[in-house]
Amino acid sequence: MNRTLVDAVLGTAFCALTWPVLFATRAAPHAATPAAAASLSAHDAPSEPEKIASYTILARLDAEQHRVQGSEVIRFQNASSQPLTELWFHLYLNAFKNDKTLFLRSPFGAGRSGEKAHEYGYVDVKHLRLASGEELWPNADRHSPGDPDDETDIRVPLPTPLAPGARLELSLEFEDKLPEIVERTGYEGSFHMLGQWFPKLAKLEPDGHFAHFSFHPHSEFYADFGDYDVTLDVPTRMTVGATGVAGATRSEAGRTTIAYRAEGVHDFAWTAWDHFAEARSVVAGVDVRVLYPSGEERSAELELDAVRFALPHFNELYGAYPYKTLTLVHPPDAAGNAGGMEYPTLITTGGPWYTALTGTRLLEDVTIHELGHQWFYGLVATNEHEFPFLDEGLNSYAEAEALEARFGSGSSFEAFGLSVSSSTIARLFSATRGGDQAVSSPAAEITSFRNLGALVYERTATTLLTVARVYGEAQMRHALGSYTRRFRFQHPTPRDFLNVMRRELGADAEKALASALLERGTVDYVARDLSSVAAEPAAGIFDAPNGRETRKRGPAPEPKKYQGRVVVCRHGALEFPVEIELLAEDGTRRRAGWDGRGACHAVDYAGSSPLVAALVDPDHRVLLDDDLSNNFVSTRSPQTSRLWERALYGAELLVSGAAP
Amino acid sequence: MSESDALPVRPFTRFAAGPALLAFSGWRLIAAAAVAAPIALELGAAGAAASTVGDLDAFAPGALLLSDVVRRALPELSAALKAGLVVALVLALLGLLPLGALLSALTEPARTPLRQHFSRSARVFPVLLGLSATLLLAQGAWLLAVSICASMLGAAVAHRGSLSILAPLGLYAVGLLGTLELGVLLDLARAAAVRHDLRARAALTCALGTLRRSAGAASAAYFACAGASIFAIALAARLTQGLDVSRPGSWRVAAVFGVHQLALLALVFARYLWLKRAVALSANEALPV
Repeated sequence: MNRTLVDAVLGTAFCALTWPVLFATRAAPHAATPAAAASLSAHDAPSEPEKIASYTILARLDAEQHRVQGSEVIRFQNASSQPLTELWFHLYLNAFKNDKTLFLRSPFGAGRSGEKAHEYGYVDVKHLRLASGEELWPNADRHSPGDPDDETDIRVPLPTPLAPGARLELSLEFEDKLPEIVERTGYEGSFHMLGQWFPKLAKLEPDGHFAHFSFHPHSEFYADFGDYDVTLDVPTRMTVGATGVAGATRSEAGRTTIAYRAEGVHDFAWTAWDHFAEARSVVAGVDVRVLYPSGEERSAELELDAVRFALPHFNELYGAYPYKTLTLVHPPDAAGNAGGMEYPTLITTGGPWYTALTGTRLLEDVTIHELGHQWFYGLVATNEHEFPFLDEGLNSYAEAEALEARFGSGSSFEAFGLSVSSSTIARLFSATRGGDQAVSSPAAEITSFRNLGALVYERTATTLLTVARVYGEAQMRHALGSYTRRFRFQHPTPRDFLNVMRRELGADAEKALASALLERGTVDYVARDLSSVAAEPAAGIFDAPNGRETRKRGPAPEPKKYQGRVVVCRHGALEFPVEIELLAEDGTRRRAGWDGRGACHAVDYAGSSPLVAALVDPDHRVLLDDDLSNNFVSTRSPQTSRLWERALYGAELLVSGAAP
Repeated sequence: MSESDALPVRPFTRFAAGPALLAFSGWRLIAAAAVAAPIALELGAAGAAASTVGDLDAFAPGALLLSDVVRRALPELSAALKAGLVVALVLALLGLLPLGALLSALTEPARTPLRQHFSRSARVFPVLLGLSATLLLAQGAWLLAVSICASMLGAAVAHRGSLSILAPLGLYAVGLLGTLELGVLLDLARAAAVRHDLRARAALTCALGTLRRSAGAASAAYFACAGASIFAIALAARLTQGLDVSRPGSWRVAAVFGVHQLALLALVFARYLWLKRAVALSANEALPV
């Protein structure tokens, strides 16, 4: 999901959770030991995923009634170590059935839009049968566990246990009634965006339990890999974009059917609209297609340019994109809530037509963010419900890194002589919520959508950017690349991620990452108590070979020497090594280091000119530093000539424009 | 004004409005300083200069320190901005006095003591105030109407390719032109009010007559001056970009200050030229009975 859209709604909320305990419990079944992690390498990653759940779907869109009639065959394998007595299905579209569902009943409105549904939607399962013809749906639970108002997480008992390794074929018939777009999915006029639109099996974990959950407004998804063969039947006037590669197309009596095939993915999304214009390009061997509202050629061009840069960039850093196609969908402005979302081989962008004129890089930002999800969600398929920071957070770092590699210091905004970088934006929002909640909190436990943005997206990104600046940017890129390669086509946990970081960046970096991400670790460096005096010959009573000698205080010898000291303190649990810059009155500067351990550290100075100022972390490596203004201490009054000049000029322009 | 009040004609008679122009630009500077000071002080106190390089770090590319300073100073900055807007509003109202004085000076063929222009301006101040309020309301209503129409037009031509963008844009452009034309009308009315010592309604009638009779000349003069102002600001932006205050060097700050103040002088001079033209245009207008 798009972090810029999330940024736009960041605000106030708070809640402290006992996440480390929960984390330890949840992560246990999958946690790799440090010893095991040490032996991990990219060569351990499979070249293709284990295909647990594959789908063949035939879907017919009624574009006037906004309904989809679907039939579905699921080929499923019990890849766990336990026999299965039940299946769990996600009926995500039921999240929009009425105002009492888990998704819509929030008093704050639903998800990032903050809007309630205008037209409701649902998915009705009409049949669910085994290959033998035995009907399973009548025995299915009617609602999500413990929640009679929600029907997005449904248990289906199996008549006989499914042994480990055994396969199962299920056939379903379903009907979707699409909502007017609330979030990600639905229709707006004749525009249709179908994400999470078909009955889908929950992810089967190795220990035999299904990672199932009700659809929460803060949550995204989690599923097993498989192959998808989806035939779409739409009015011929519609332009269609979908996950995978389009195959046979047939038109008859005003309807067109297009067969799509996507191998080794874990979801399928599609769009259909009769006002799409289209741009295409081959980038790094991938057929890239942009579907956009006609008239918004400039937006499409910028998005395509962003892909031209970022796709090879991500290929190099995180491993080659393995699919043949990539489809970008720029929804119409009225369907903005369908924008900024990721699906395998299909991403949605967004932004009004004038975005490109505003100096912001919203279009590039959203495009690169969603493209990054092809790795951090698509290929490294983490549990987005349980560990949202593993996809959104790591991807926000990847996005900021790519944007700054492409656009430098103006990677977020550049106009009117002001440049704002992506890391500045990440830090800005991260700092607003600091240690409110653990970054690694499950989606459903994050107390507000604003906290989701500030912590899961921005604080994760800020943490990784800090570690990169402190321990080496190239090292961080390599470490993250090792992680994405090692866990390609797999479902790693936070512990897996930290193990790779420990191996690649060292124990100190891993400790800082664990503290910042799992334990609400914060840090604030403070400089204080600066003093400087002219060095004088020592006075007092001294024992000498010839008896005691009394030396009186005298004038300092010329040329004068000065001694000084500044105290640097670290507040918070995070430890990062920092530099301290010392400024002498004659303008000379020198730097001293501190490993960041301990609460306070005294930095001594000796020189030919008085010490007048000191600054902790002069290169701003520690982006997690809560307050940058207290990093500085000085005996002189602040120099603010630039500030005054700009403020005065701005005010003069204002007066010139507003006054008679 | 009696003949005896006029000062002797000097070689720079052409700049008889010089002192009034100086007062007009001086007032703008004072007003700007009053708005800027609380903001600069708040930012300074919040740590914009918390670096061994002074406030240079706050202007560094990427805006890391600046964003942090603004984030933490936001409550105080918000209060300062609100206070600044109130100050600006009051100063804008008071600014009618130097404007009236300048218009008065432009109506005189010879140099006259500045206090006389200010006395005259104070006399017509209520009229200038009424004109400003009336035409600002008219501008607001016009912009609101255009926005509503553009929104309706946008919905009507949605999904029609470039038209869906260009049609509302075109309407907004028309709206902007209309707003500027109302600005022309306002200045013509002010000029008429000062020159002929008219009440607000009569000044407006006179200005409408001028606009009817010399719409081309008035608009051309106004838009030429507005264009010159925009050009001066853009040129200053281009020059200061080259000077780059995000790099060390006090001379850069001094140079940027100089460039900016020159640009503002150009703005004042452009306004002076337009007002001079407005006064000249209103001179020949038959006065309403």
